[in-house]
Order: sequence, then C-alpha cells, then structure tokens
Amino acid sequence: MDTTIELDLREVFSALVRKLWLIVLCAVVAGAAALMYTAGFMTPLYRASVSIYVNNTDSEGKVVISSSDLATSQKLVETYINILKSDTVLDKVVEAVDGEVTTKQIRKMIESEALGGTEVFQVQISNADPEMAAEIANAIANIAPEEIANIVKGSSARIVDYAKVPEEPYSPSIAKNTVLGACVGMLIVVLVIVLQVVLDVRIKSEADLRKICDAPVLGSIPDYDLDYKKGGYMLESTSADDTNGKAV
Amino acid sequence: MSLFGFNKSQKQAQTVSYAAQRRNILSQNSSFYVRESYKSLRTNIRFFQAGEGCRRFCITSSMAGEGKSITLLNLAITFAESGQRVLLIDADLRRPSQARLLIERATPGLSNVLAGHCDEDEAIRKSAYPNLDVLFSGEIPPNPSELLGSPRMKKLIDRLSEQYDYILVDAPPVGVVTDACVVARALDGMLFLVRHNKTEKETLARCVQQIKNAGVRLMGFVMNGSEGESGNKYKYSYRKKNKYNYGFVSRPSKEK
Repeated sequence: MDTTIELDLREVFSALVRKLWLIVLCAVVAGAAALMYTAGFMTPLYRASVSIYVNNTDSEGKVVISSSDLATSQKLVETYINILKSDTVLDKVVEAVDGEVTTKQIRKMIESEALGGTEVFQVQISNADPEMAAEIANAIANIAPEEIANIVKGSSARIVDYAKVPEEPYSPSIAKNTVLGACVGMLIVVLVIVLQVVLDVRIKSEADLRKICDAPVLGSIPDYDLDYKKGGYMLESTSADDTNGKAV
Repeated sequence: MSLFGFNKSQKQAQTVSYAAQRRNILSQNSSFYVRESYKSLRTNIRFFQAGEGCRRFCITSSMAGEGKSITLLNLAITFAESGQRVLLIDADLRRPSQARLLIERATPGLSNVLAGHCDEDEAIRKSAYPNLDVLFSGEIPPNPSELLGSPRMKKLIDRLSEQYDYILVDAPPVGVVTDACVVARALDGMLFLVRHNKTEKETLARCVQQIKNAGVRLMGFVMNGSEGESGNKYKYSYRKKNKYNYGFVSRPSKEK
C-alpha cells in the first residue's frame, strides 16, 4: 500500500456537519472564556491626544504660504515626531509631571501620526489612568513646540487641540476579543475533526471497499442498533413459538 | 455518543454479549428493512456467476467481533425460508458461536465427525427453523486447521451436498487464523464480512491478499452495520416502544 493520504472532501464536510454541535459549543466556551478574561483581567487603557500644527517658517512673518511650503511641512511632520520622542523632549515632560513616569515609559505610551497628509499631526498617549494620560499629553503639547523650534531652525509648531481627559477606554475591546476567542476555539475544533477524518483508517463505505478489492458487494446489512433506536419497533410476544427453545 | 470516534470503536471492539446478539436473530419481529437486506444477499448469492450459483460457501471476516456468525445464521434462516434445504456448519473450531447463539449443545459436532468419533447423522441436528439443519462445532480440538484441511472434510462436504441445497459454513476470521482459507478449499467460495466503521483498510487489504494467495474464490463482500445509502430505506411503520421480546429461541423477557 502506498503512503499517500487521501482526503475525501465530502467525508470531511459531512463529519464537520455531524459534529457541528461540538464546533458551536467550543466556539461559545472559548468566546466566553475570552470575554471573562478581557472583562476581568485586562486593564483598560485610556487615550488622550493632542494635535499640533507645524510650519517650516517662522510663524511671525509670512502672510502668504506657497504650496511648496506645504509639501515641505508634511515631510517635516515625521521629523518633528522623531524629535518629540527624543530624550531631550521627554525628559522635560517627565519633569513636568513630577517624575511619576520615566522617559522610557512615556516613549512606550506615545503613538503619533500625521493626519491625512496635512501639516497637522496627532500625538496620542495611552495610559491606564485617564488623568495621567491627559496630563502627559498636555505636557508634551506645552514642551514640544519650543524644543522643535530650537532644533529645526525656521520652523514653528502650534497646538491645535489640547488633550481632554478621556472618558472611555479605547482598549481592550470586549466584543473584538470575544469574537476572536470564539474563532480560535472554532478553528481548533475544526482542525481536530479534520485530522480525525484524515487519520481514520476504517471502512466507511462501499467505495472504500472497492478501492481495496474489486469483488462485488453482495449484501449490505443495516445496523441493528439503528433499527432499535430510531423509531422503536414494537416487537410483540411470539407466544407459542417460544417453546421451540431447547435447554443448554 | 462520544467526543471522538475512536472511543466508540474501542467500545465496539469488545465482544457484544451473546444475549445481545441473539436479539438480532431474524424473527417475525425483525424489521422489514433488515429482512429485505438478507433477501437481497440471498438473491445475489443464488444468482452469482450467471446461475452457476455458489451452493457451498463459508463466511469470514478480518477480525473477531464483526458480526460474522449472526449474519451467517440469519442468512441460513433466509435461505431456509425460501424452501431450500440448508445445512449450517460451525467450522470455527477455536471460538464456536453458533451453539451459543441458538442455545444448543455444541457436541457432538464437526470436530467429532472429522476425528471419527461419530457419524454425521448423529451430529447433525434439526433446528427450530424448518429446512434448516445445523452441524455445530463439537469439542474444541487441538488441531483445528488440520481437521478442516483433511480429506475427510472434503469428503464430508461432498456427501452432505447430496442432501442439502446449500451448505453455509461459519469460519474463523481470516485475519487471525488461516482456517477459513483451509476450509474454503472444500467449498465453492468464500464470503467476506466487513463491518462498517470498524474494519480497518490495511487489515482488509492484507486479508484479501491472503485469500488470493490461497487460491480461494472470493465471491464478494457483505457490509455489516451500514447506515444505509440514501434512497434505500423503505418506509416502515413504527409504534412507541413499550416492551419487546427477543427471538425464537429465548424465553420471553420484558425490557423497558
């Protein structure tokens, strides 16, 4: 016999359908577990954000801004973000919040991105404490523009939005985690079932028989248990015929 | 229902008790579907090989516990029902089942006849079914293969062929011992019983090869325990299960 594994997709599919209850059960259990873990154990994080506008010229001066000025500014956003994450800036931020967090910690909390190719970029601070998040964000807002101006000659940055204290956490998402958990649970069960079908070496059908030997199948006797369980034939007393039994 | 199919097959590997097996002996109370499946088998055997038929054959399987003996017994009953004179021989001299199924004494039987202790006329008995006689296994001999392969066996079968239209022989699983191939040489063919969801493909392939090597004529397969191909199920009537009795030979007993 060769060692190839044959995969009958119909067999796999029907096995999955048969065990659908199991798949659903595992999905529900996994989803519930994910939900409980997310709701009970994961710390919610709050996000406070400031938005800053940058320009590559001294803000006290030009009245008319050309398009090339705009293009340059957009490129500079990335530069400014890098500067913002530097020790120079963040050390000062640490001082501003009375040293309650370290520079490294703040750097981890920062997420920044340019807003849609404009000259405005946003700095987001994530923290378990909403007030702290806002405090740090605003500290950055106060400190960063001046530092940027010091380093990049001929630029200016202005605050568009100061940070407000966030009211609701942005993570973790209970819904998302639950669905994810359910999907993972489902995937594992499906994988196991498929494996089970593939590795099953027993005869399941006349087709299996034909693959092994071309002798005809002369008869097919149904499963007796099937008869009894499904429908339940009422077998009545055989009365007089019983006396035919002989003693051992 | 178990979590993974493997557990279920392990359960099936344990031999079903004889009481439970007796429940499956054909009787007036067997379902229409079951009886029809046996009749189908009977017809296919009868018209095997364009009318030449196969009047003397044995049944075997790959392993023990696949339902070989009960199937052969029911088949014998089915043949007898159609008016044929049938002789059922239990040639499984290692683990004879027919006597236990029919609640009869196994001796005197085939082994005694082959050993020369008695005549076949003394050993062969009428069964509870018309047209059906049974030659039980007899005592378990120390040399079953030799007895079954002896010229005495061949002569016995040939003699009995004059008295009976059909001779059905219960043989041990060919995947375990070679007796089935040995006894088949005295007969016209061999039937191979396969149990749905239990017989393993590799084992079956080996058995088939073994049969081919022995030069035995493999008539075909009987699939046991099938769930039925769709469209084969006939309508049957059923009522709520209140009590049921077992087949002919056991005393009536009530369950649930």
